[in-house]
Amino acid sequence: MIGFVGLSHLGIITSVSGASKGFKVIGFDPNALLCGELTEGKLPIYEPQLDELLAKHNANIRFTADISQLHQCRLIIFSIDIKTDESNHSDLSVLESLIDAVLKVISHDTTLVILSQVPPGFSRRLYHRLKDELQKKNARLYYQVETLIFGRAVERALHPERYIVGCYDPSESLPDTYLHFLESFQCPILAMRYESAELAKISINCCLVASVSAANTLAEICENVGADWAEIVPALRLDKRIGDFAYLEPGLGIAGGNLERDLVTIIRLSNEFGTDSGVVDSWVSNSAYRKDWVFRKLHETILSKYQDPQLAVWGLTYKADTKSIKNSPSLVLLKNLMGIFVKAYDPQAMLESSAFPHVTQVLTPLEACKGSKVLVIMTPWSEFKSIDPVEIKNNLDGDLIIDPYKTLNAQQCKKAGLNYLTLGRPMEFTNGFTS
Amino acid sequence: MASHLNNNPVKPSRVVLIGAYGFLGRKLIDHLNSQQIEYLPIDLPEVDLTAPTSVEKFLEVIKPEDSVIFTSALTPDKGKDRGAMLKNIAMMNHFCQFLENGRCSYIVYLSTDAVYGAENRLLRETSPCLPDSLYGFGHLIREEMLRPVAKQREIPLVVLRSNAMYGVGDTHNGYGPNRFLRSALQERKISLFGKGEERRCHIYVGDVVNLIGLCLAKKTEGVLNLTSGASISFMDLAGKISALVDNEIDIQTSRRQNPITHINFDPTEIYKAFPNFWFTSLDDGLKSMIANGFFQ
Repeated sequence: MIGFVGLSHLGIITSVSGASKGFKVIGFDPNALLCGELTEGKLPIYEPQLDELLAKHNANIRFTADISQLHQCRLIIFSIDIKTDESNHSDLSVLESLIDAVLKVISHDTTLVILSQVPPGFSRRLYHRLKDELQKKNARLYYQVETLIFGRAVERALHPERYIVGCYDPSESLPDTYLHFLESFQCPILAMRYESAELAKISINCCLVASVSAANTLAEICENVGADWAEIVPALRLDKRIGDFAYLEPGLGIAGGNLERDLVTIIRLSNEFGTDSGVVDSWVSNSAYRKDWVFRKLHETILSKYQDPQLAVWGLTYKADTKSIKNSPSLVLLKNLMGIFVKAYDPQAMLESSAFPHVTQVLTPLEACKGSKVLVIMTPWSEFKSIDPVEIKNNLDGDLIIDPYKTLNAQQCKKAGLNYLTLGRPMEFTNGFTS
Repeated sequence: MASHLNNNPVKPSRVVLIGAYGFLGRKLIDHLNSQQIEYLPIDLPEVDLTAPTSVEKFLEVIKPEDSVIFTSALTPDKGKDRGAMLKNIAMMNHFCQFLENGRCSYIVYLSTDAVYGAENRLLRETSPCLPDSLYGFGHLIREEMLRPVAKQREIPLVVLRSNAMYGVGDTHNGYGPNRFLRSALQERKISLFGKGEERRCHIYVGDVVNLIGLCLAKKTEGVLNLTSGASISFMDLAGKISALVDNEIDIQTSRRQNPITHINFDPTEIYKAFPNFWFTSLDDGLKSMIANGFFQ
């Protein structure tokens, strides 16, 4: 029996994927209401394939708010979401309290695994704090790197690239129960000391941010010199040092919370140990700057030309296939547009109307376009791709689309009589000119 | 970074204009007149701001409900040396001494983009201030003198760091639109340093006036760069002016003495503060100057 503590986005995904491998799973969360809903198959999160996966394997999984149930588990995985404050600093107190509570109910020879996101040094400090109790129960403590990606979480959980496991002593073999669980996913298992695993997670994210920041910086140059970043990217992908899967799509800054937290952690560690984090500071600064790309373009094209224009915004979430709006560029844009009337549409997310009194959320994408001077597509939801640009043109009271993620086809937009503005290349006008 | 204390614009009851008879001050007077806002001008020859007696004058005439616009400064054309910097600091020292004993309801302080220094980087309000001239240092020191006093006295303050201004009535003759236009019209030539490769941002004085007006109405607090973000090389600027005056202007280049530095500004914060504000394009600003016939 495997226990999951904390039915966060991460906890739900990993517990259901464990059940799908045939393991008997207990999903524990102090929130009884949440456990009740999950038992009824009601998911508080949206991830492609998750509904089906839970329905198919629900016989293997039990959700409970009764912590004593964890007594039956030989492997317990802590999967609570670590909350961050406005400055992206982690609050680890909830995790520590839960671990303390769980330790009181576990059986002998249980393996404890922290899957939640913790900073370097946390696991060893925790080990030393709990050493006596762990030894009394012959329990072992590990840290495992999570690589959840919102919108692709099920696929990534079922087919992980590798497991990174942080150990007190990596020369010791992993307990059989834990090893058996990990091996069922048929991927490489990399065991290393706690600190290396904790920093490995941050290292992965830093490399991703470095790629994205380089792409953003160069895409902006493209917009000004007449180059098209989309033409350059294939050349980069064929370079083995960069590769097929590199993060080279320009975007509107880092969002979602996880990458930001890791950057804050690196800056904190760097300040503490007196190492140079100038490049990380630049990534943070570039991310903030990119978040306002659409706002700057709106100012150049619409706000500086029309009195009280109405705007249409499609997409509120920080990426497609998620309900999460944490650090979403769309919300940053809407805050900057305070006082300007906006009609917004999103397939999943709802805005708190009191925080955005100037925004009316509508039920269809085309309804948002009606009477608007410009359409801005802030999240590349796939349902937007099927909308005919001619329909958009017919509903708009203007002829401009700002589509940073190339959700729509630029040529079709131009054919429909729409001027098209996207990241990484100059504005394309219907008359064939570029800005 | 800036925020507004007034959600909706509120007309100030009275504005005290310190530095009322300079290039910007005169334009502000026109603006305040057009808005029917009562104002009190303070400047030479009645009041010497570099003299300690100015403190008494401030105490005498500034009322607690007044909004103060502080634009007074010796500009680089009047001196770039220690003496000029110390005089600029003295002016602020006297105003701060007034604030420690007197009161006003709001302060707009007109600073300069020279506080950042001339470096090849995109400048924004959060950029480090590394002035490379005594003029820039002077303004930075003035900001640092004023900020804690305003905070301690709980008087809202906005610091506006302006790009180089141009427009009719400018007497400064700084290297840029005013000097180029004057030289083109009077001497039929424009002299450039090197080949005029450096890019700079310029702001039309009317835009500065209107932005100060918006700050007054919304009681904006914080720091804002007064910039449209549009930069142009001095060579392109000279070409633009040459085309506008409809003359065969001799654009003279010279041997470069210093490395090329481009100074660009990120206008995001001023856009956020005033999303509906329309900046005057350089073309329109120059045309307006020529149409006004000031240099003829």
